[in-house]
Amino acid sequence: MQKGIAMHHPSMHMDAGFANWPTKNVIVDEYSIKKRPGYHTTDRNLGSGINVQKIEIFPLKDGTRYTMYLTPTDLCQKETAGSNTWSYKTATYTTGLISGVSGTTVTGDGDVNWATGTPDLSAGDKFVVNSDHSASIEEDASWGTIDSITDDTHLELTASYANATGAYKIRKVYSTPTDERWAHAIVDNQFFFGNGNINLQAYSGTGYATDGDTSGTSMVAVKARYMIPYADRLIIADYGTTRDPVGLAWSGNGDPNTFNPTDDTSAGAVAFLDSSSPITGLGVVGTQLVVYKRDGLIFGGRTGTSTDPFNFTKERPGIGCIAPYSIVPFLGNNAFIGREDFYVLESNIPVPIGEPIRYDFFRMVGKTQAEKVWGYHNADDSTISWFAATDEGNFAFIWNFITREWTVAQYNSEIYCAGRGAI
Amino acid sequence: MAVLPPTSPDASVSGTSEITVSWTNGETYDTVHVEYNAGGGWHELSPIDGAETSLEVSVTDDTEWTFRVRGRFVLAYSAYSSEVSATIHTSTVTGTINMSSSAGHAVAYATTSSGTINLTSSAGHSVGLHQTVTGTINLTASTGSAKTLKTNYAYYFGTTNGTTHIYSDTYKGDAGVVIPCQYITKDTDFTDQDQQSNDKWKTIYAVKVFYEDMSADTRMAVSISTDGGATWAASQAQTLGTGSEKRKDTTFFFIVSGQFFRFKIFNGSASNTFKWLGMEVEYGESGEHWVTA
Repeated sequence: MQKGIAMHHPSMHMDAGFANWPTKNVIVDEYSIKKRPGYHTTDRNLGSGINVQKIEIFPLKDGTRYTMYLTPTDLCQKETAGSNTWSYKTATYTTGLISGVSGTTVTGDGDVNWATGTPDLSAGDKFVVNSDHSASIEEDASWGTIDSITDDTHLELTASYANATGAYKIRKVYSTPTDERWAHAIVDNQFFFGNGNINLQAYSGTGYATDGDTSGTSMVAVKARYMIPYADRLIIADYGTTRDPVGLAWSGNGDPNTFNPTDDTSAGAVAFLDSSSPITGLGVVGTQLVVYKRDGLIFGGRTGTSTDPFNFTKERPGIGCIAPYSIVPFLGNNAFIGREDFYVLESNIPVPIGEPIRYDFFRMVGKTQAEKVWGYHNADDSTISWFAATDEGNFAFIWNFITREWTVAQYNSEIYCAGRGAI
Repeated sequence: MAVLPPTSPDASVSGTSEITVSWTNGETYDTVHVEYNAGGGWHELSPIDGAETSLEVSVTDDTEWTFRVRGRFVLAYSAYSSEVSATIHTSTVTGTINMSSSAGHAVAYATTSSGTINLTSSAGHSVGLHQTVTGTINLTASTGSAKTLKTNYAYYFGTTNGTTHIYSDTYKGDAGVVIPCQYITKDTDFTDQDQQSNDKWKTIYAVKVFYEDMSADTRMAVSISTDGGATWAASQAQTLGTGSEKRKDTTFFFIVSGQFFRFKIFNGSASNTFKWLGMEVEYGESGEHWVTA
């Protein structure tokens, strides 16, 4: 039988740590309980029913900043001038001209090579003629959908398109594996992004995204599920034509676009042989590269030798990360979800932090859903929020790393990602 | 025949602590002799080869160094050259800095300027590193883009319905929709503060809530449960606040009997916010509780 709230906490004092479920939508603020902040009406609409998977600032060296969005199929850039909304930066094919459109059949001139060109077009990709297109006010209703590629100069759309000629765009829509999300990294003035389905992509701030691995011999950075900048390189993991769940590769030194050691001897790769526990994420804590596995942690350091740049001399089995998108960097540390608890990685020690909430969390979320939990760091509030779908609804489990208090929020919409955007 | 003296002497700053003395040889010398005066009379530096026409001299800052040069051929010295002086100043430059732009580009801190900086001296002072400049510095921007490294940002949420939203304290609702916030206590029988009340029933008469008046006309409700939150036996609501941001309290009156109590404080609003500071409960014992078969 529970006798009062706690002998050492006078029962009527409203310490959030001694609150009862469902206490929600409050934050602990200087020995008081305060209503949590809300969010404003829609800033941008990327399309009904689309999961917005990532929102990030992409700063360029010249001071330009872009707010980038990633949906399961596209890279988008927020546009702010006038009545502009946003624009697609997905890999786009623009070679040649359209000779004409008849019903659903699009005919190109002699410069197009839709069947054999790059990017490799396929059914489902999007088509629009430039004269119909408002590129900075998406989503333009003029986009048509490709039904099939007939040959190098002909393609079929899923619906009739008004006859038009001239310049055009074919947007090579991406795909994202079920229950997986995009990873991204900003390295050497480029916005790299990738997932377990597509080639590593890179966007420079102009034009459209293109393959990020430009190794002349052959592309290595295929289907990169995880990525992180480290040691003047781009590091990727769980990659390859047939994804290696324990594989890790690094680009050339100072060259994030070359992963093939034949082209740059400072690029390389390693596969961790304990294949019973897949890689579930990458992080940097202090000076160390952290390779999260489901049932352990591997720590890498720099050797100082460009052609053999890393040694992975420390491995800590036992506590690993079960939820790849729960890894949240903050204040030089990482926080993540392990099998039984939330942890903060301090140096190479995973320190449990979830005692006040872990029982409720794992009871409500369940093992399958726990692996889909994602988190983000809000530096303004000194909090890390982990969002989870539970049997009782969608909740954010919020940890304040200053007060070390836990609270729970339930938002009106189903929040699918959070991040910083430029203002 | 007299040996001709060096001509066109000059002294210019060539480093943070160096002055280079230069001259033109009047004729062929066996050796050249440079002398300096830094306020303590003339001193000769080590003779150098007669073909040389310059010499870098290490000096002290903020002191005027005067130099003269003469040449020697066989046993005869030439007359001295005219004297030249230089001073390395580390003091603050005084003068005017004119900043002007072209093509509408601002010239400011953190702006990329691929233009020209012109340093102009006056009164015969050369312009160089660490030297006092009493002239004008003209900064002229080229047609390059202004570069301001911005750091301001907002936190955004993205939803499963394609929308993005700014998340901040500015907003009291979720896209205008009420945020239902509630704090629910653990069950208590008050024995942590009154051990004599163990196994006894109590009647709650009042709940005093302490709050900070964050915004006007804020609706707040207090509820009491005696069955572990399964049902809420009694609820009272009040509209509070003027937005004065002062500490205040208000009392909710009840008559609720039971052994264990759970309290809930609720505020649901899309336009107001609330801060709860604490609460007190006024109760009395209702006698021992017996369970009958």
